This record gives sequence, structure tokens and C-alpha cells, in this order.
Amino acid sequence: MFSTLSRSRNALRKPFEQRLSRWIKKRQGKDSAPFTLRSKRLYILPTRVGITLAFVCFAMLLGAMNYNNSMGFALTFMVAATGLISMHRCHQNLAGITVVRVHSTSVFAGETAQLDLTLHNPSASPRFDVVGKLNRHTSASIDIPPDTSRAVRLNMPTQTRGVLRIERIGLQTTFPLMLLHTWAWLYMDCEILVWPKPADNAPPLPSTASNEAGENGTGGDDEFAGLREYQPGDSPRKIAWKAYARSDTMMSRHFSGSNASRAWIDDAALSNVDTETALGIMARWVLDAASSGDDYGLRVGGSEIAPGRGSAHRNRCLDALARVPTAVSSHA
Amino acid sequence: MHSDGRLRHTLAWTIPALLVAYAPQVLTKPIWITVLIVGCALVRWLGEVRRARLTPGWVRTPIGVLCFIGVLQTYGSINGVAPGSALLCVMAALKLLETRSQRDQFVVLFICLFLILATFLDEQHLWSIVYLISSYTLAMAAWMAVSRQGAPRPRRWYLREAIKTVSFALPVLLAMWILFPRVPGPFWAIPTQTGSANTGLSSTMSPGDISSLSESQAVAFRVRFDSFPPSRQQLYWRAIIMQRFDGRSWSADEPRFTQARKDTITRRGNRADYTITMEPTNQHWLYALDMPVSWSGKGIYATGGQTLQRRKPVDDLFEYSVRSVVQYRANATLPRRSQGIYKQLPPDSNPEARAFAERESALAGSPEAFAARVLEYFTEEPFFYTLSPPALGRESVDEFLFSTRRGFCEHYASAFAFLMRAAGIPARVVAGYQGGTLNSLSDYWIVRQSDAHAWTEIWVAGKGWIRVDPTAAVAPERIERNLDSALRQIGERSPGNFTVPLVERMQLAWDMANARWDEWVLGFGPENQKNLMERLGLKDAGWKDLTAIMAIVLVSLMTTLSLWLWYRHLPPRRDKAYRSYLKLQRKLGLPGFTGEAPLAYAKRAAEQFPDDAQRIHQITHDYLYWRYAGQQQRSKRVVATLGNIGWKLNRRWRRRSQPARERATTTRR
Repeated sequence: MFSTLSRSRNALRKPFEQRLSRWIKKRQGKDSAPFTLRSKRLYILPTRVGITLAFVCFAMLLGAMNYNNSMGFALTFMVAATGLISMHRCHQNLAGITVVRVHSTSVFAGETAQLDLTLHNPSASPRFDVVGKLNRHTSASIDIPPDTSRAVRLNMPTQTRGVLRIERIGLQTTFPLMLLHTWAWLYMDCEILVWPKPADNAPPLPSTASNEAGENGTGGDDEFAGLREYQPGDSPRKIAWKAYARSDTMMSRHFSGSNASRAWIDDAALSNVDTETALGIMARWVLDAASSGDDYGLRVGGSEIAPGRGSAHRNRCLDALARVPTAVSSHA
Repeated sequence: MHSDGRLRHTLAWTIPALLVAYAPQVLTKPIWITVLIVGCALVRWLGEVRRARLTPGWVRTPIGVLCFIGVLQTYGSINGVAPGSALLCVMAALKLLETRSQRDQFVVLFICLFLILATFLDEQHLWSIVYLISSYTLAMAAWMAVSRQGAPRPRRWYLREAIKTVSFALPVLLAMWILFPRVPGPFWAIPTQTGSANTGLSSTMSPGDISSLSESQAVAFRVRFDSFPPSRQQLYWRAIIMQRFDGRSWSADEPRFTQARKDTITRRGNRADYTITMEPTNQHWLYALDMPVSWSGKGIYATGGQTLQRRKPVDDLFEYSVRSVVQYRANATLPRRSQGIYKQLPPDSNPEARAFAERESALAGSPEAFAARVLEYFTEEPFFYTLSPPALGRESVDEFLFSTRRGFCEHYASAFAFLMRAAGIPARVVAGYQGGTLNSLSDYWIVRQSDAHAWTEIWVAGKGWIRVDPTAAVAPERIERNLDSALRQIGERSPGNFTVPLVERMQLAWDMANARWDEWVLGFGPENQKNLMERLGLKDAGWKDLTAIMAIVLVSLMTTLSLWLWYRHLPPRRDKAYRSYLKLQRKLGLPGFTGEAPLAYAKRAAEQFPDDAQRIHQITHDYLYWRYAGQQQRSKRVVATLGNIGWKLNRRWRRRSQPARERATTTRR
């Protein structure tokens, strides 16, 4: 009975909230970090405790008036004044905070993604009990000392593979007395890449060994073949530090390995299964290939990632898998 | 959200907050409630420390029922302030037992607020402002602790934040207190406080009644004279006329709530104008100096015996102004019927006194001569004025006049009035107060319960009511000085009255503070508010005006607060060396990059402004030695060299990106 009630209340609330959200977004516009939370984008409303206190204050006022009790008036006004002051302090606790950046780590589907929202308190006074809010999940509260940055860590459980767009992030506080609730909505361009969940029973990685060194390949480990310009993703171990010290340009040492095998993970090999399953299998292959230590490349959805190795390469491959368009878009 | 350690941390705030809020009620509540609250607090606290389980419901429910019955048993009802606040205390105690969540603790804190209010409904002494501030501050500290979401902070922090909140709140409170439109009168009937013992006069007077009052140092009322005060001997504050006598005690008529026929009082001497602030008595009568002729105050009327009464019992501090004439002629003519009322005596009572009156009045001839004869009798015969007279039986007057001869003012007044009536002279007993203490630190008189007095008035054709105070014949000290000196004269010590000068001065100062408190805080109502507004130059301020003024004042106070908060939240001030380095950048109109070291900047700036290159390098070096090597003497040269660099006017950049640049350079520190 109660659950039905609350469900119907939610059903009533949802369209309203959506409309409100759209209006707020139109009003504020898009945010790009870093930006400062100015007063005009902070919203403030009493909490349940605050509303109760307002009723209590009114009851006390009636009592004081009825008994013409001077100290009763004093107490009532003290409570009212506390409410007013806590309103200002609550608002000021969030105003002026700078959102420095939002950073997310990619995860496999089913895991919990973490979104770190770095906040900077530029003022000389500390901020207390700042809480981030993402959908229905709230973060642990943080205090930000004066002239310091702290991150609010938001957890976001994921279910399906794809690009999770974060529509908006809430930042709220009920400091100091939980009577009022100040919040801000941040509309930032922020996405979390959810990698496909690696398939458990994947067929073995089809190994297509080739002898020729790829034009863009990073090469094997065995025989030094020369220097070439550094590319992001090259292992730090391969950077020619001495050459860097001489010339100011980063170079990578280039090896040619005769027995280094190159694997191509290709979605063409999996044309008989549906996309998601295929992606799961490919994720497994990527992991397998990464742990085997061999070079591997990825061809998926018409694009190609040249063979390579290392965690950056692995992540680039998995990201590419996550970005494969889906029939049903998974939205946050 | 509330884990174990956190609950203990917050309970360590809520339990003391509750106990402190309850503390003043220890004296007024039955002892079992105090035991219950302290017990529940202990059980809850120890349970939390030992991580025991909460007291189960099957224990709590019977305790709750028992407590309810207990309240019903103690007070006979659950309506009214006293039983209501007792129920509140019981609720608080039981709530504590089941407190587990944040929400429970908020409930306890709400109960705390109501407990503070209940205390004020009971009593509002001067100390209650101290209680309000301390108890409220503690409750707010607890509130902060319960509201805290992150890791618990040090205890001092909560207290400091609460003190901050309360000290911000005080000016707001003051503004609201003065400006909030006060509405007269209660909205619903206030249950009368039955069974509460009030010290003070009562409408009947038996031997021994007033002497018991004389032990009380409680204040009956305070008087401020607007005119020159009359002499001490003339300070007879009349309150009650007692005209019925049953052989032992005198009593007054029930109040009739109508203005009696205006008495004819002729002025024959000085007038006195004064304002009385009387303590609540829950009775109708008021005090006035012999004899009141005009007065101002709501619902006041005069009775047939020239006393003042108020339609509504004085259940609160009450202030009124009176004009009296000190030398007067009251009711030169009295209708025969009224004369009869003042001559009534129960038949066959006190036969000896009756015989004495008949014999002596025949000898004296006129009523005045007889009165003088009786007073003479009191002085000649061995009569004693004492605080502890022997108990008197049924024929009280006979016993007093002819055997015990020891008595307090009511004995003398009673006997005197009886003798007058027995001789056919209209007479009545007046109960009230005599004298008072001038507070030398201020300009008002304090009249205490110990100044309670009884005297008589006899009516003489053509002269009206004449005041005769038989006590004055026996113990003139009582009238000329005060009770204390009268008793010392006869070797008795008055109760509880120390006369060490310093202590006396402190008592006077304390009383003055109380008087101011009563006048300005407790007595502050619609009238005072109106007067205050008029003094501020606002005539006829209605509730709308008051609300408007209050809104303006509150908005300006809140603006001040937010300005202050804004100021506190400004970025921290950089040190002087760094500021001078920033000034260099500002003067050159060349912002530093994020993470650009001073020397790198100097190199870049020197390339851009070759004319100033030397100065730029000079400043940068001095700055570095000043800042990082602590060579303070370099500061002077930095300032001097800075003065030699002209402003490179690049207005567009300076206007636009100054804040951005400062932010950029901030990261370098």
C-alpha cells in the first residue's frame, strides 16, 4: 500500500522534475570546468527538519502570545533568528566554490564507475559537509579547508556497455543545522566509458602471426632497430631518455623482434554472433592478449587500432569497444 | 548513516542538552520526574558505552503508562501548564531510551526547545536570560553535532559554532523582540493556577496571619514617585478593607467588579503621583497610598472603601499609576445604612472587651476622645509588640486585651476596631503595607511582604474616615523606621534580614536589576511598545507599521550578516612580498603563465620591455631573496624599484584578465 503510494507520487513527480531540470539547464547553460558557483545558480529550500522547526517556532509564538510570556517571545525569536542565520550560512557554504575538473575512470559493465569531482575552496573560510549527488546516489560528504582542493567521489553503478553520458551532477549542503538545503546543478560535458563485460567462455584468441614489422607498429623487444618519435602510449621503458636529454625531443627506442607475434583482434571473425556478445568476446581477447605480453591490434566497426601493448594501449582498445554504437542507447 | 561511534558522539551532546534544559525544573517538578530523566539518561548513556541493546519495547511501554498515571496522580489532570510540562519531561526521558537514529535525536532536541519554553511559563526571573542563552547554545551545539554528516569534529568546534550562531542571533532577537507587533490578551482561557501558594495578603485576617508574612523578604510591589515622596510615616499602602468580624477573624467582602459610588475625598494637603509595579498575586486588589483620587490603568475601579481593584486578577506583573492625597477628608457624610455595616459585631463575642468599651466610651464622651483613651491604654498597660505572640483562642480580643497582651499589628488593629464598634463608632480594619525601603541606588521604593501591616479607620461625623494605627502607640519605631528596627528595640531579631552595609548594597543592586528586568523585559507589552515607538517619534504605530519596520531592520541585519560572511569568504590575503611581485606583473601589463617561475618570467618580461630589463631583473632577485631567504631589508628596494617602472598601459588586458591571471599565479605558490 505504502509502496504503491510512493510509486504514484514518484510518477507524478517525475515529469515535473524533468521539466524543472530542462528549465534550469536552459537558464544556466552548459558548464565547462573550471567554473565558480555563483549565487544566482544556487537554489535553497528548507529541509524536513527545517519545516518542522518552523512549525515548532509558530507553536511557540502562539504560546508566548497567549501567556504574554516575555521570555517565551525571546526563545521564539531566537529560534527564528537561528533559522535566518542558518539560511545565510548554508548558502554561503556553497557559494564561491570552484569546480576544477571532473574525472572519471572507465570500468567494465556491471562494475561501479567512479566520478571524481574536484572542488576548490578559494576563500579564507572552510566549507563543511559538501555532498555530491548523481541521480539517486549521494557521495560521502567532504570538508574543504581554506584555499584547498578536495574531490567529491561519486559512485555510479553500471549495467550495460556503452558511453554513459552524465546529464548533470548535483552539489549540495545542509550545513550548519540541517534546516536548509542549498544545491547547485552542474551540467558538464562528462562521459564514462563502460567497457563491455569480458565474456567468460570466449573462444581462444585467433593468432595471426606475421613477420613484417608494422609501419606504425611499436615493434618487439628483441633487437634494437632505431629511434622514432615518441607516440602517446609508448611504454616509458622504451623512451630514449639519453636522447631526450640531448635534443629536447622525446624519442622511443624501436625494436624489431623476429619471434614477436602480432595478433589482430577483428570483429570480422565474430560476424556470426550479435554485436554485444561479440564485443564481450573481444574484450576478453584484449585482456588475454594484454596479459600474454604480445602486441595486438584491434579492428572494430571499420576503425583500426594499430598493434601495440601496455596498459594505455589496452585501455584504448577497450574504449574503442565501448564506443561502438548500439541499437539501444544506454543513457544515464 | 549513523554508525555506532557516531551515535555515541552525538548522544554525548543531546543528553547534556536535555539535562540542562530540564535543570531549572528540578525545583518545581515532583522528585520522581527528575529521577526518571536522570535515570533514563544514565541508562541510555551506559548502554551506548557498553554497546548494549536498547531497552526493549515491552519494558518501555509499561514505564510510559506508569508515568502517565503518575502525572495524572500528581496533578489531577493533564490539562494546564504544569501537568503539560511534566508530560513533556516524561516524554523526553522515554524518547531518550529509544533514541537510535538521527531523526530520534532531532526529536529530543525539539523537546529541549519546548522544555525551555515550559520553564519560562513557570518563572521568568532575571537569571532566565542566562538560562536561555546557555541552554539554547548547548542545544544548538548538539544540533550541529547531530546534523554533521562528515567525520565527527572536535567538541570545541561544535560549541564554537553554536556560540557563533547564538551571537549572530542576539541582535536579530532584539530587533524582533522590540518590533514584533504585540497583541494584548490571551487567545484561549488560561487555566488558573490552583494550589499554587502565593505569599501576600489575603482577604481574611486572623491573629497571626500578618506576623507570618513578616518573615518573607519577597517583593510585594515597587513604587516610583513622580512627585516629591511623602514622609515615611505617611506611607500607608491600603489594599483591602475588612469590615466583617466573626469574633476571631476579620474578612473583606467579595469583589463586586463595579465602580462604587464615587467617594467624596477632599484634598487638605500634599498630593502624590506615583507608579506602582506590582508582583502577581492572582487576586483582584491593588495597592494605593491613602487616599487614591485618580488612577490610570486597564480595568481598575474603586471600591466602597477607597481601595482599588482590577477586574482581572493580577496574574502577571502589573503596572499602574495613581494620584493620592496624603492629607484628606474622606466621606464627611456616611449614610445611616453604611454606618450600620461598620458597627456590626457578632452578639455575645468577647464580653469583657465589650464591657470595657461601654464603660470607657461613656467616660470619654466623644469618639475621638475614646480612641485616644484606648491608645493611651495600649501605652500605659504592659502591651508588647512581638513577632511571636502566643496563640489566641475563640475570644481572641478578650484574651489579647486582658491576659496575653503580646501581639503583632493585626492583634492591635483587630482589638482596636472591636472596641470602637462596641462603643458604637463605625470602624474598619485596613490591610496593606506600611513604609518601604528606598533603593538608594535608584529612585524607587521597594515594598516587601515583611512590610505588611494592618491598621484601622474610624468614622467621625463631619470629619470622615480617620486613620488610627494602634501599632504606632505600642511600637512607634515600626512606623517611623521599619519592622527591623522596631524589633531590635524590643530585643527581637527579625528573620533573615542581614544589615551588613555591603550585603545591603548588593541586595539593593540586585533588586534594582530585578526592577529594571521586570519593567523592561517582563512587563514589555503593547503599551510599552507604543510608548517606545512614540519616543522614537512614531505616533500611532499600528501592527502594519511595526511589521514594516521590523522587516526593514531584519533585512538590514541580514545584509550585514551576508556582507560579513562574504568578507570571511574572500580569498586569503597573500603576503606582502608576493603582492609586490604581482604588482610588477600588473605594471608591466604582462601576466605570468601558470607554473612560470619568477626567473623565467623575468627573462620573458625583459625581452618584451628591454628598457626596463635591468629593473625587472633587480626586482625579481630582490623578491626572491626577500621571499625565500628572509632578507626583509630587500623589501624597501623592491618598492623603490617598482616605483621606477612606469605603467605599461594595456587597458584591455588589465580589465579583462586580471582575475584570471591572479588565479593562474596562485597555483605557483
